[in-house]
Amino acid sequence: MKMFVKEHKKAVTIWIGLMIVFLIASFLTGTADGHESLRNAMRDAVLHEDNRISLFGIMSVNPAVISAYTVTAVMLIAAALIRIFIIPKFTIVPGKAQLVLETMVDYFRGLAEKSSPHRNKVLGAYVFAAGVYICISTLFELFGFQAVCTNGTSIALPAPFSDINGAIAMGVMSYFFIMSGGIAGNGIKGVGLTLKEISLVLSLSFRLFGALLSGLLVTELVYHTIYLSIVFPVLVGIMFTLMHALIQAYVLTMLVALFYGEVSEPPVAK
Amino acid sequence: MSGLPLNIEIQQIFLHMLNFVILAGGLYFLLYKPVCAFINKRTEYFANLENEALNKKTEADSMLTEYQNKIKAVEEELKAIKAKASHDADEIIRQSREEAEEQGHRIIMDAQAEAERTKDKIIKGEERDIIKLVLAAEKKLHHYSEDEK
Repeated sequence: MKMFVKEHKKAVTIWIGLMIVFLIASFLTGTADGHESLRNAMRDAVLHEDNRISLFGIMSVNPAVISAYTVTAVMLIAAALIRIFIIPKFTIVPGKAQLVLETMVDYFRGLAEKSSPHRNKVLGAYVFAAGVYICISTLFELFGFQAVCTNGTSIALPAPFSDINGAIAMGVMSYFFIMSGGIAGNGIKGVGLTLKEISLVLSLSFRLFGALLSGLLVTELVYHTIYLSIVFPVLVGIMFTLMHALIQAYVLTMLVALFYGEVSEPPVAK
Repeated sequence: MSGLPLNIEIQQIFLHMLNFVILAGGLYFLLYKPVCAFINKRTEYFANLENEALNKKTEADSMLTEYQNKIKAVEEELKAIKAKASHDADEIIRQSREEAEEQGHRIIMDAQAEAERTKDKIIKGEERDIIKLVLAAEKKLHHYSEDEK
């Protein structure tokens, strides 16, 4: 390291000098008039009332819907490419790509088999799709793809689950999926068993929404504090996004698998 | 916009649901099912290998048992042959000893008989000689007496 600094003394000095100049400039220059207030930024981050995007000119939707469809398109194209180019080349002794795919599939299949030993074929497919979708769609916001709103402003596409509608959709679907397992395993009794857990609809939806929103709000807060707006927001944003991507995918899939196994368990003859 | 709080819109919820259904179906057919099928195939392949190995092991075990039994039988047979040979040898030794003893006894008996015969012969020969000597002595005595007379 010392050798490197000695060899590039001039370049390092310029680099540090530039950083200091820009740092001072950042503090000296004031906030522009008409800048979005923290209150508005927070409110928009939660409610998405102001910035809406046209969906093929048919209707105006929240940016999260566009994010969701973009993620789906990207994932399906990637899946198709994997299906065409990688899966046919699978070997008994797996390579790196094969190992990643097999580990992912095997993890969710194992989760389904462990949580619901009696009925798990569809559950495995569901938790795989949900887990991969939550993980990748949460990471999607890191790319900061831009979209033009109906009001003419440009925004970075958010994670689909930072919109409450996306989180509710996932929560409700997961609840009805659990109910379908109950019906398949126990008939009409399965509906009753699932209705006992009606709070799942709220807990699944708002846990997902709350977790992602908390990260978003903390990042927004950090951005709006001038002393923390250099370098720090990048670390905070990436850290929250990565952690939420993995934790929320794990939590939702685990809960769905557990409740599915519970309500679809066949009655034990006494 | 809708009348629901927190900007909840039923239409958008359905749009998200539609999106997830498309994605779940696509991922199932494109990734989950083929990868599961491959994993199952490989599991089956290794299960078959394991079964084959188990069958071969069972076969080898049965062969081992069979050969061990054969070896045991051969050893027992060998032991019986050895025992028979030992018994036969003992018998032959005993017979030979008996024969030798008998032969020895016979030789001794023959020798004793021969000795007796020889003794008798000698005695008879001696007796004759003695008689002759006696007769000769008597004759001489007779001559002396006659001469003296």
